[in-house]
Amino acid sequence: MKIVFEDVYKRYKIGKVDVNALNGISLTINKGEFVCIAGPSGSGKTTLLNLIGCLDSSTTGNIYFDDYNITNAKEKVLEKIRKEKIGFIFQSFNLIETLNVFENIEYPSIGKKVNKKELYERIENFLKEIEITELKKRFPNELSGGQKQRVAIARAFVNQPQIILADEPTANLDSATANKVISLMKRINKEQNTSLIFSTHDYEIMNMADRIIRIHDGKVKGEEIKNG
Amino acid sequence: MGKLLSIILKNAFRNLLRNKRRTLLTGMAIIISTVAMLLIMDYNKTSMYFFREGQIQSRWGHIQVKKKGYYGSETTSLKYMLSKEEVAKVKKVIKESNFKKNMKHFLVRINFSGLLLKEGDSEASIVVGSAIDPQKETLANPGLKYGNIYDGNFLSGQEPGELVIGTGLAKRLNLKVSDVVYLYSVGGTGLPDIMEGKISGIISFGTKSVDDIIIYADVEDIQKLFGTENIHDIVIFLDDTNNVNDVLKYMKSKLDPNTYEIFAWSDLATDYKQVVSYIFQNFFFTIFIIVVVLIFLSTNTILMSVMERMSEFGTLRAIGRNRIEISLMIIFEAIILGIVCSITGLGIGAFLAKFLTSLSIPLPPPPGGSISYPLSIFTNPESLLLIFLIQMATILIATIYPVLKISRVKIIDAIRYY
Ligand SMILES: Nc1ncnc2c1ncn2[C@@H]1O[C@H](COP(=O)(O)OP(=O)(O)OP(=O)(O)O)[C@@H](O)[C@H]1O
Ligand SMILES: [Mg+2]
Repeated sequence: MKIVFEDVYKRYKIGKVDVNALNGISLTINKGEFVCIAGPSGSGKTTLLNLIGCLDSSTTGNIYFDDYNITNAKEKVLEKIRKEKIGFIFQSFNLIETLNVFENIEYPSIGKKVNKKELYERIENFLKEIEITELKKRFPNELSGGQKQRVAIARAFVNQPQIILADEPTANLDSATANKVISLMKRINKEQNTSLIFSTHDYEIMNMADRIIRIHDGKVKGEEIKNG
Repeated sequence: MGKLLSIILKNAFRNLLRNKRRTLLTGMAIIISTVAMLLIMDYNKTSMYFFREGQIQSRWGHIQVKKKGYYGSETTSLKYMLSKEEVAKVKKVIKESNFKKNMKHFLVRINFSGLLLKEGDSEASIVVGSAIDPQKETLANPGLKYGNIYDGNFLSGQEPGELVIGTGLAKRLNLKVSDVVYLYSVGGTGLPDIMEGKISGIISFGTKSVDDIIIYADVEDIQKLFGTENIHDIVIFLDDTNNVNDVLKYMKSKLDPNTYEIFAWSDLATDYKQVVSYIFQNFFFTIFIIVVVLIFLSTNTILMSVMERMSEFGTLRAIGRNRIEISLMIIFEAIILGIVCSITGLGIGAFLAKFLTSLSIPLPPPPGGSISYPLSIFTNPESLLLIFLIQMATILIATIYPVLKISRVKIIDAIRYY
């Protein structure tokens, strides 16, 4: 799925003060691309990911998914996009505390018409690859930060979405695990042509991306095409 | 679909266990209110039952048959009376039917009024009375013999001229047991008839207006006084109040409507209906207050637990789950808690009802009744079901505001909420 931002502004009101989180962003992310959004704290990375993830709407400007303008789409449509096209990995894990690891991962696919056997196989494989198979029955409060993050990643991938959005996905992982996880994500990215859109400060991740988009004060300040 | 339901249910259970203290608080509120409702409802129901049975026993019987035209006319008029043959016919109709076994008592009464005068005294007082068959009447309503008698004895039916009068009347005329009195009444001749009588007992129903004028006489004496063999009322007592409609229907089909008018006790007991509607209003109001308090309390605790999980709900929305599903989680939690706690409450309530009843705490007789019953609370399936439904409705209403609140929050605000 191709994503196009056309002069997008996002303004938050904090009391009487307006904060321009995004200040006229225009960009295009192609299907299957691995893009890193880089920028200092407060530059608007999370806001940008939220807009791509249909969690929030822009104040002005247009956002297109494959030429379909989602800017004024109804909640029902956005819900369907979130459910079927997007996998989200949050900055602070956001696992459901009352569900165990397996249930957390399985949840996004519940109610979808999928082959159960295939789905469970996929989950098991994924658990094996990110080495959390033995944590299946544990609850989030029994996991370390890194383990939680891996569960969050598995949850994002289980539905085989077209776009994976990850807000600082490796911020809480040691570098060895981080590398392993990113390699895995990158492999899926190549195998299934899934777009990866990360926000990160991590140079190692940036080096693995196809492209880095640098933003500052809610504006695109530059791009860097990689070939690795 | 089954999978979704199972995960929502699992989640609901675990969330209830997550904050045990709050769950316990809401749970206790549901349990206590359920117990209170059950006790209040069934105490009132039991009291109304005793009141009804008391009214039937002491006044109306289950079914009354009167001469066509009598009901609504002057109560003491001798114009509309049933003859001996007409009375026999009624008895025969029942005795030859399947309802024979349901009939417990078959009484006749004459209603009369007159003046009562103490021998050797010039002061007279108006009396309104009932002429009855003492043997049969006291069998149907033993209260006359044991409960209400204040002094002396109720009519024995053995000696002619026996009279029983109310306490107010006795006081006014300064009458004591064994005093000789004269009863003046207007009988069939149109001229005053006079009967000499003797006070055999003084009776009280606890209602001044009744005790001031009531008089009981033997129906044979009054028939002699009026020179008639006729009576006003046939009063039929059945084995069970629930059978009234069937018997009534049958009798109406068998007896000539041009001669007889047939009434159920409820057609006659108009003040009974007023008392019942008064009790019902009181009781309805009490239940209403309990429900309102419970709704406020539960709304509050449900809201607290929902706000705490705001970021989880945001996350669920972000991964594509819809509002309905999230609302269902909140509602299911409430339903689980509601079911468990109201059933517990009903169990405790039923046990308490049984226990309190077993203590046999004495209570005064119901208004107008003659026999006093100990404190009794009988639970019945209808009350249990009704209260269960009320509680489920209450708890569902309590989820409305939290559900609306969570549905309105924007996803990113919910995710960021801590
Ligand atoms: N919901 C909100 N309400 C008000 N202001 C907000 C909101 N979300 C973000 N902002 C503001 O918008 C700006 C951009 O925030 P954003 O979270 O997108 O930055 P970021 O690049 O993700 O920062 P970090 O690297 O610290 O996560 C900041 O000034 C932030 O304070
Ligand atoms: Mg951020």
